[in-house]
Amino acid sequence: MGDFFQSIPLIDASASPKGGNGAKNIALLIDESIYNIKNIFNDGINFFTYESLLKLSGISAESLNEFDFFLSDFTSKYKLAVNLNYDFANSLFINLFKEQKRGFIALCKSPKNAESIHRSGAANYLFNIVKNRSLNRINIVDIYSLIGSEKPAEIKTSYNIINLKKQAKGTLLRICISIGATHPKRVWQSEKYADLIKLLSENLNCEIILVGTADESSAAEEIKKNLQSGTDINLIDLTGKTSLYELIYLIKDFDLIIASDTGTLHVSQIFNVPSVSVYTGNANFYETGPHIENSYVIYSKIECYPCMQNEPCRYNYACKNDINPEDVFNLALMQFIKNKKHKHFKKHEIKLSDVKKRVISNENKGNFSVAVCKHLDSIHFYPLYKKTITKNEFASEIFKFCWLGVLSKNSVKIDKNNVLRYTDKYYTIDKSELNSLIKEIYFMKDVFENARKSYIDKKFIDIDKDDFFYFEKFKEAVKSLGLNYGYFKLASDYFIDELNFSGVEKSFNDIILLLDSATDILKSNSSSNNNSNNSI
Amino acid sequence: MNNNIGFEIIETKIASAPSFKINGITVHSVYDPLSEARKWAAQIINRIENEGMPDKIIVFGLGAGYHIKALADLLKKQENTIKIEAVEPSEKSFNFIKSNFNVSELLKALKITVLDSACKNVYADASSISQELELDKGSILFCELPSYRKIFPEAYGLTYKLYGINQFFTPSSFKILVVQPMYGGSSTIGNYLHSALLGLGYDVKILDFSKFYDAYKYMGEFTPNEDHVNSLKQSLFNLMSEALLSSVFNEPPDLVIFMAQSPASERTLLKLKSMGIKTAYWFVEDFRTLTYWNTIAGNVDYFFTIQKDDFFTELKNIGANNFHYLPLACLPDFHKKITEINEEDRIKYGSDVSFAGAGYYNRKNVFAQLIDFNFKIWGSDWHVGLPLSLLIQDGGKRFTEEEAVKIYNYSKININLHSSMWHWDINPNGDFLNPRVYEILACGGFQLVDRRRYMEGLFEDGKDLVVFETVDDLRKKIKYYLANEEERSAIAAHGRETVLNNHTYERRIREMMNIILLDSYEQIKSKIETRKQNISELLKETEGNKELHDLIMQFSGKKSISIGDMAESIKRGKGRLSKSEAMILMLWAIKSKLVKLQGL
Repeated sequence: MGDFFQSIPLIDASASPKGGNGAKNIALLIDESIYNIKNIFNDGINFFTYESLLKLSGISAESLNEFDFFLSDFTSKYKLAVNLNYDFANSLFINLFKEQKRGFIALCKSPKNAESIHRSGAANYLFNIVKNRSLNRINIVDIYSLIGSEKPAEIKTSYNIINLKKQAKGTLLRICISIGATHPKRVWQSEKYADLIKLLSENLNCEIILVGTADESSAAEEIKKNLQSGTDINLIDLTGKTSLYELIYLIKDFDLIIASDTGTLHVSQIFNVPSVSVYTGNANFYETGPHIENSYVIYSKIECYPCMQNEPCRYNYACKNDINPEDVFNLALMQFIKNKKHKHFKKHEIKLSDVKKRVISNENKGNFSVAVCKHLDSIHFYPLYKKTITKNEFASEIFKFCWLGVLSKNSVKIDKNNVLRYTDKYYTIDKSELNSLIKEIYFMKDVFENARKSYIDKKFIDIDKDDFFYFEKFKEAVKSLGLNYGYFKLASDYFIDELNFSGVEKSFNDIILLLDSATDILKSNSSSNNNSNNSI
Repeated sequence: MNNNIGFEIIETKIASAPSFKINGITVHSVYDPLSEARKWAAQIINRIENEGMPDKIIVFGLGAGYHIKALADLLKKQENTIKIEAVEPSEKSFNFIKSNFNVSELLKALKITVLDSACKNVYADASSISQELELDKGSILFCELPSYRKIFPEAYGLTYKLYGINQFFTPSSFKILVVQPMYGGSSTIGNYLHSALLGLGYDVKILDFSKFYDAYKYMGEFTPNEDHVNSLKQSLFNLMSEALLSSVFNEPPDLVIFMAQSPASERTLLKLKSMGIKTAYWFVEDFRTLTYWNTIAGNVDYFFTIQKDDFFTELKNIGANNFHYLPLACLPDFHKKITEINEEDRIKYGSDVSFAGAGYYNRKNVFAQLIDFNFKIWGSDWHVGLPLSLLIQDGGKRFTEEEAVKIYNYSKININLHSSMWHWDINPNGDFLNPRVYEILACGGFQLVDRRRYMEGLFEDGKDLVVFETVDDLRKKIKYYLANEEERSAIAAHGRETVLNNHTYERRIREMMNIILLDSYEQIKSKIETRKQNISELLKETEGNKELHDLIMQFSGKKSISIGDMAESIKRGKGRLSKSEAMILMLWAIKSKLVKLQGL
């Protein structure tokens, strides 16, 4: 569900006549479990599931012919087909469309799906961030848009394709707490939720609504047990009591949502609901963080965060322990202050600066960090205050902008001044590390530019044995560049794969554009450093 | 079968056509059994018209024969020569019918199969019932005398399912994965099982974990702490379990057969179950010596054992009810008589007396008393000093299975003493038969073996092999049979015939599959029926769609095809996918996903 709602900006843009395709007829192939959400969309957005497309009566000539006929008819209706999902069946389906196709497309025969499914550009990037998670800083909402429309997402406060609109509020603040997630690593402890609820109730005139599936009802009971009786808490437990449609209907009108990385959080973003989210375990906020501007994310500084979903936790979920209810509460206060909800505060004299200072002070003392979402033509996360970062982190930050240029096929032009302004505002890097990074990137740019001369300018199309041998060697060298310069690994993996899908020329052009943009930014950064005599 | 059957003749309105009751249930109409028979026959003719002409009709329930006569008359009128056969569940009822009704003409014209004449073990005999009724030959229309369904519900259910299995099931449509242990004797048996499954036409793969054995042995190098070593070994075991799950994830088999000591953790078994995959475990160990069965038996769908009685009691005690006795066997293609003597092999592997196997405690004690014979001992773990060490061949090295075949062939007498870690010589309570019993016989070897409880009914002492009771008895019999070659050869030949007729891995597989197919009939039928389609029909019906037709034409050599077969073939190809190929792969990918979700 979360993935689906994170693709809404792309779908809305496709339907938009301004800047989009102005598509009048959009078909969405979705999972059966979320089929009922179709009711929140306007006409013109049609939903399908595989169950609705197929009869499962076995392979018979009748069913094959019928399916063939259906496909011929269906696939000829659409000018553009996009597959955002690395799924074999979906990839095959996309193959059958006649007009333009983007994303993951099964083109070739191979016993291995990885060889069969074609993915280039943003789809290839998405595939490679799975094994290079710490290097990716592009939000999945932007990635989906880049796959489907070759530009970052256009984030709106209200989407035209959705017919549900916000309604007038009541007298109390309505705070939603979504207590579950699909993986235990992303679920915050019940007792902490209970403490948070106490803080909210003591300080705000609010009603708190717990949402989740039936599986989360027991966690809701745990939370309620932890709340002492006698405390005046206005708590409504809706876990397991709402259909998906009902849940969405409620979410759109909340004043705040507090959640982990779960579908409910992403639904709320579509309705511009302010959020404070707790990111633990394998949830990487850069990748799947809430995309509304000024959304807060709180996460642990522990070394192992973010981890891999299937990796067992050896630290007893320590990342969850680093996040305290008091800090989540403070971030909630900050949201309410920014959104001018003072009248609901029981103690009226609360200033944003004071709360922010508290958060920063706790951040310095504790083992957690806060990130806030900002929009600079795409979705970004920055810390609350200026921080010192390592060379690898700084490289990832710079590359983020460069990747946007590459994946949008250079249609998104990097506003160097803006990039520098933000990096300067939020990050400090040791000068020697910065200089070292600049040298390394220049070195890698040289490597690729020279290689391009050998393999493209020489018209490397008719490969002779020697050329092939040396090209294979070059590929090995690129892999080892990725291993030796950790921040470059995502790029090297992307390059190696892109060779298979888009050919030599495009692959080189992509990487050289990436490195070129990076050197351009870093050069400007360095010269402004020299002028100001400050380290950035 | 229930042997308590009561009969009663009943007069009807038609004097010449009495009816009767079996166990209080009326077999034919008490009013007009002949009219009832004609109506029944008309229904069968109707079915023939709707479903097409079968090669034969099998009627479950002979009864007084009125219905069969009516059917035969109708077919004769239509000048139809379809063969009719009858199945009578009980010998008692058959004898009653013969004695009380005029069925002599029918008995001459029909083939009648009486089910319970060999029905001690319904699953073991399921194969023979199938063979007897030739259920796999031609197209068959199966029908029944309605009253017999109530009178003999178990026999009817069994026969109906066997008929159904032969209609929808072909081995090539059934995917099996055999999971081997890292090491140990059961991996040899796993290999034989795999070969036999291939021979029967199953779509079978084998998962070999032997490469993990070195890592397993090496665990002890890291720490002397036994608990830590065990913990490391457990981690390795878990890794193998995960590897198994990875291997089945993309192409789930229909059945996974685990051999003893293979990585069958509870998590793995539950995961396979959630994927709709049936699991079987063949525990080919002594349950008293290795007790890990109690963590496995309850988690697999079918637990096969080489022991029963006490083991079955223990299994019931832990709440298991899915266990079946399945003794070991031989693989005739491998365990065979050598017809062309190789002199070099004969010199090396031949002797008057031989034993091939590991040096267990009781064997050392017994064989130390046979050193005056021309006796060769083959195998490992014989850590002994003189005088036994003089008999150990090849420096106590492990022998291969190919060498075992030579040993069994070239030795005049093969001793087979079942191992025991705590009996001085012979285990007086030994029950199961080890693989050697079958393998020696299949190779045409003469065998002297210690008495085992389960030998009764499988092999005859003095005809198939010779049993010794004590070490003295063993010595006497060695001397006797060395001096009586003709008798020795006759026993070996007879033993070979017995084992090849009754105790092959093919036969065990049939039995295993009968158990599984009969038990999971509806589920497996549903799964397979959605897969297969007759090739020729498909080709005919896709004539209008050239691309699809050409794609299916590639499989014209096969009788039938599943979408999985087509998908596999497409994936093995090279180059771009055509539209039809993409469509077939997509259908297969979606069906696999949905079948997994629906637990089919």
